[in-house]
Amino acid sequence: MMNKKSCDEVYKIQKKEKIKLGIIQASILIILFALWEVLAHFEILDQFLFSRPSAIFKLFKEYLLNNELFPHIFISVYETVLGIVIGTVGGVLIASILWWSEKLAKILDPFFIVLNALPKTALAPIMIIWAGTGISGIVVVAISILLLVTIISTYNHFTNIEEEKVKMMKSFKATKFQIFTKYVLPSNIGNLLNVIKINIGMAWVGVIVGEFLVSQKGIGHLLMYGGQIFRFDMVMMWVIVLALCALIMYGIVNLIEKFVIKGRIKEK
Amino acid sequence: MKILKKLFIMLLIVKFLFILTGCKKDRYSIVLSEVTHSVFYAPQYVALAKGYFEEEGLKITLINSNGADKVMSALLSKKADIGLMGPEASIYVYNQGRKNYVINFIQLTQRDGSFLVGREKIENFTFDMLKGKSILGGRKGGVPVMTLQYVLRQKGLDAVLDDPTKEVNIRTDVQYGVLAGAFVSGEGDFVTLFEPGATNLEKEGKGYVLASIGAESGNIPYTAYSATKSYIEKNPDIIQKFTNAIYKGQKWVQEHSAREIAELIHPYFKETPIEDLTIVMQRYKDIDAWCPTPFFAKEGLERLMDIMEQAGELTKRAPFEKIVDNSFANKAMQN
Repeated sequence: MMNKKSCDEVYKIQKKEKIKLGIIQASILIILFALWEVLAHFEILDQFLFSRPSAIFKLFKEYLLNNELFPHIFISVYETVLGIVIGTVGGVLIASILWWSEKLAKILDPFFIVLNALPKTALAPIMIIWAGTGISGIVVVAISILLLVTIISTYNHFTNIEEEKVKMMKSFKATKFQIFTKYVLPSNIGNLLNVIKINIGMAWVGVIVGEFLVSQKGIGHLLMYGGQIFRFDMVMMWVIVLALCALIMYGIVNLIEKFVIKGRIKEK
Repeated sequence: MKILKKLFIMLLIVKFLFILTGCKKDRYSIVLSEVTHSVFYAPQYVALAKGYFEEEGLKITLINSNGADKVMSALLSKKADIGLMGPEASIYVYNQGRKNYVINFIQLTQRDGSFLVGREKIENFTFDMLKGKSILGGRKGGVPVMTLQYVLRQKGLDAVLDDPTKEVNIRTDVQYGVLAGAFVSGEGDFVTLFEPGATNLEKEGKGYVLASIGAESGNIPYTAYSATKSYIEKNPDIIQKFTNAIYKGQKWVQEHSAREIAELIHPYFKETPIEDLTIVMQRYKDIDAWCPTPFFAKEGLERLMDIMEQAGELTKRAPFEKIVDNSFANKAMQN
């Protein structure tokens, strides 16, 4: 009984701490926006170049009422999710194959290092010509940015397992496939979720770069268009929308992480 | 304590030096931001190569900003003194009610510089051959796309952006930098390209120049030199010197052959062989792309605003008298 009570107390303290943190974070954001608005009001910040929060909010409302917001968000989010899913699944698959065959990993190692060092965004125009204009080209750019990092980091996680446990499983005559599915993969779920979190940011970079080059819709398209017609308030608004989209995606992965961890605790 | 004192004195000296060198910055050394590094702006490179700016006592630092929005940002944030870009930028800025807006004082080009390129050579090309076809036109909101649409509409074609069901479909999903590549890889039936892109494609046998958009569009101010109102008010002498130098370049271009221009500006475009550069220069001469004088024509600006209006990108017209100042051009021509 005592034990449970103290457990609850710890939980309460943790919750309080969390709320505190949230308040601090929110106030930083509010102060930044207020400062921006004030500086723009007194023309210390050039309104043409920096816009102002109130103008951005007005524009946002306009877009919302005209229902012009979600078609663009939808297409960009769709491309990003596609990039993350294909890139992560593909990357993990390749990393698994490398884990399977150490020799292959050794052979390919320098290639991966060099490919990873290439400036993918600079190569985007060529990739888009190869992959075709439209969504396919954009998704390919996104994948190109996150694939190698996924492979390299996942492979590292896969090889950093406890050798003792592998030995024990081997002594029980577990096959390589069993070792992989029963131990290597499940013990790395947390790491994989972290990889996905990093991939969210990278996929967005790829999608925006791709949309800059070829697109009919999407956030990158509107950032471009806003620049063309000198509406920097439009550019700023879409940058904020972009940040929100990335934040929500990050939050979703965080939720999944919580469930997975909870599930595993229960299992134990 | 002694060490601290010494350090303090040293800091003071360093600071003083900085102030001195800061003051020494010659006000006649100016930063010119160009919208893109293009052979289309030949008179400017002639003026640079011939040393016309030095003759006037100006030292030019040329920076390529890659896009009118960046040139404008550079001007407004005082990173650049003079900008070379399409005057539509100054219209947009003026319409947003900025007090220190941007004023154009030299018109450099008077035609659209892009060419219509097709996959096959067509003898006796006429614009109604575009019916039912798609054209890669560059980005929505850009003047090249608007001008293309304007020209096609003038020809009686129902040209619409990104709608394959209409008579002519102008595709705006491909960025300028990837137009040629996308076209070669099979996108679109036609493409509009600037030089030397069009000539390069022709040389590789991947496309043929069929028409000049500029020749059809009539006189429009495609590129102009501009500076902020406050800069012009503070430095009329610099603007005058700059205008004089560009005018000399404009005259030189009018008086010399395509080959001579190509040879002179080749150091600025090393990646293009002189032979190709000569072809390109001749093409621009043929359509009369370069203004013979720095004078900015009013009817041109009105036409540009017509073009922007028909494309639906302009809600309010800007007064010519506000965003153009021809006094420097007039003075340069009198001398």
